[in-house]
Amino acid sequence: MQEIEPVIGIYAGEGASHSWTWFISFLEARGSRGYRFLEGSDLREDRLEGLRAVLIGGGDVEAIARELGEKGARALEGFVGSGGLYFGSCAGAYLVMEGVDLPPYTPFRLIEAGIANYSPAPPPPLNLPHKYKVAYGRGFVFHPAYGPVWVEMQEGSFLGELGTVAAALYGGPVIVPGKGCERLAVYRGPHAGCLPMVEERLLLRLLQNTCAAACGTYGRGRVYICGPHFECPYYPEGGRVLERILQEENIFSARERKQAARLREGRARRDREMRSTAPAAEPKAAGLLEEVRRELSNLRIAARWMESFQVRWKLGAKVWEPEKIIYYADFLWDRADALKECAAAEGAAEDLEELTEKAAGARLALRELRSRLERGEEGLSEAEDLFRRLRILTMRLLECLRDRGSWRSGLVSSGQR
Amino acid sequence: MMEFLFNGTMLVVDLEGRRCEELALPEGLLSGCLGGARANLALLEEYPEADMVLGAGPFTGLPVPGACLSVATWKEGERISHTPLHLFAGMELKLSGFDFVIIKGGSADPLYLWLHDGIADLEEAEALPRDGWEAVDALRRELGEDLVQVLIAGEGPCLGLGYWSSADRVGLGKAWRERGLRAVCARGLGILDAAEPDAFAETCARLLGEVRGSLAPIGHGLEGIIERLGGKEFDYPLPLLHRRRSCFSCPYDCNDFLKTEEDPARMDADGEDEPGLLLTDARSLAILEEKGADLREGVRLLRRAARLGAFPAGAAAAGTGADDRELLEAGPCSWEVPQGPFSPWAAPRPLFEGGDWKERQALAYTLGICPQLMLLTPVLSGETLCELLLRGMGLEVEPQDMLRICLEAAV
Repeated sequence: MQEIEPVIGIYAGEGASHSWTWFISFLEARGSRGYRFLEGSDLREDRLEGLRAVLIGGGDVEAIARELGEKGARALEGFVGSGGLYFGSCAGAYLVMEGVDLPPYTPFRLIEAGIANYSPAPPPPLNLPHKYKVAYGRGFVFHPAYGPVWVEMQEGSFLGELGTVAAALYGGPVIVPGKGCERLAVYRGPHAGCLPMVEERLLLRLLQNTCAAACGTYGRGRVYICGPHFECPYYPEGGRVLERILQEENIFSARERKQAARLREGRARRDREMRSTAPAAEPKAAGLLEEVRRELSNLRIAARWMESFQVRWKLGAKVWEPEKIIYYADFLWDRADALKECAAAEGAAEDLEELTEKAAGARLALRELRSRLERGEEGLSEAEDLFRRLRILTMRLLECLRDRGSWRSGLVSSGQR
Repeated sequence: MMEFLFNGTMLVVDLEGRRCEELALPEGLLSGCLGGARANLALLEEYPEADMVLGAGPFTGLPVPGACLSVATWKEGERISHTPLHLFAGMELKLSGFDFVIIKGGSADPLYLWLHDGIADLEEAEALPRDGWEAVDALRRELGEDLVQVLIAGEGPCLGLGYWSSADRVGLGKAWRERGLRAVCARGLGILDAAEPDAFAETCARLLGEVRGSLAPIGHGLEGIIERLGGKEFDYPLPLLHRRRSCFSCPYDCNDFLKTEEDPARMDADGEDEPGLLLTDARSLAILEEKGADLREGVRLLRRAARLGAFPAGAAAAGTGADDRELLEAGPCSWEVPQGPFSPWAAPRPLFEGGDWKERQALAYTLGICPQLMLLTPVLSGETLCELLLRGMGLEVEPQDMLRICLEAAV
């Protein structure tokens, strides 16, 4: 088994939406498991040693700010100031902008930038009212469009060679770069499939030639902020942008680039080879492995039925739908087979036992939520409990793959290259 | 190469030992037997201690017209029977990850088998209600998904396909119950590969159009089949008809949903919990017509039969005044068909010129296509099916050889 040194910290704590898993898909597609997960306490207690990059993706930015608090903000400052890389997309971008400075965001000031998508009284939404705006100060941060947008890389910047790409915009900022903040990419209007939230004139004013990505220097480190989710696997072209940033900052090594090339050689053939060469697990671990797979399969089957409920839950400032339960369940199941390779490793039995227990817990929480919905209740606290369980289960499964498998285990095709 | 269109995995279920063993398909099984009923027979020979196999054909669960079918082959002493598992059950069985399920032994305590994502669980069924419909509800609740397909042994002889009557005319339901197997549940989220995916998909799409075109003169529903068989207009109005429903991947909508308990025009699902019945059997509708039965009472009778696990045509023949005991004791009362192992559920003769009933059934049961559709259209010809086998399985076979293999299922 090859030791992996986690150099990338991915925030998956309170306030993070399911989109933190997109960073995993992004890294897996490039043959990397060099990550570890960060929760609020890791930042508050400054447990960032050994990391070279911290990534914060989408979610409820207010909940993230409250979870990290002043101590978390100081830890981030210390980390970047001493040479670390901060990459924030969507909520992760809002979080560290100087222009977003009302409590609880006040202590987070890593980059001189503000936002253009703020108004004391935004116009009524054309679509998705529940995703349209979030209160901020005496007005609202509002979202001019929801879905894929075109993003053009700034000519002359190191990203310029990538041209124009499609990327997912799910509530991310329209950036107003300040002094010492370099504009890296601009919005170029909505892509097919993008839902307009405001009338066309305003939409184009906000998403045509305005700043989509920017970077700055903080101490000895670098800070990147992006409105769109370049890490989102649904728009694989965007992944090249994040890849290029991580290369520019020397986070991606030559080894990962080689592995990415190897992955392109043919996943099916590789999977067969993996299966045939995987060492046999001890009977106890083999039994536990079957238990984990059983629970994960039951979970994803039960999750499918949630689609039949017309319901959504507002947890903090973020709206969660049943589709996100299915997303988590499928994400887990897609990696269940890769656990086979881990089962023979020392210490795997304890991990598998924990995974079984957590997967069963998530399945029961899902059943409880369903029965609440069938009784006509909203199931808000049950949904909150379920999403927390799914997030933790997913983190533990990925940690097991990272710690007990070889570098290849669990690399799942996300379509992103 | 031969794993194309299949999962490559089968399951041996030992009810007595309460064990499930997952195995790779035996070498040569698919090239020699193609699948479905013919492969089921080969597996019964290989596992003489088993007496039942649920098996899928190469096309089951794929976009081939009518490819809804898995087959339950039962060896009862010297008698072999093949029962088609249609609607969505056959497809879900295959996509649950197992091409064949070999069942042996019996359990003193009732069990159910749960197939999902290539995982098989034998679970206690002691607490399942006796009532077939309540049992289906309980299982779906337990497994968390209403799309789980449930083959249920109710109180009577006829196996249920969820709430509705299956094509069982040999008493599989009773046989399962007596050996402690209350239900087989399956949810299929698997993916099957074709040898030449694009060419296979194109052939399927072309065929779908051709089959649909050939069915135009037959009309719709069970009444279309009865009309064609009788050579005269179906003179039994169906004012309770709510909608017609096809099985998986079928261009002919032969299942009639009739609403007896609320307005058939009502389209929302907020009304009665049990508004009517999905009628899956032409013979029982033909008997109601022959007897001139009141349609509403006739459908209520068939709904009672489906719930009990009684043979639907037998129930129709027993009449609307029959009590539950009489329904449970009623025989299959099927169409008269040529002797052999194939179920008399489908029409008793081809509904196009020049077809041979036994040959069409052998092809259907082995390749995983609905035996009813095979009697409705000549478009699914030997040449066409061989083309699909080539594009799908990567198997080159001549039509006469394919037919010979399929007909071995009729022995």
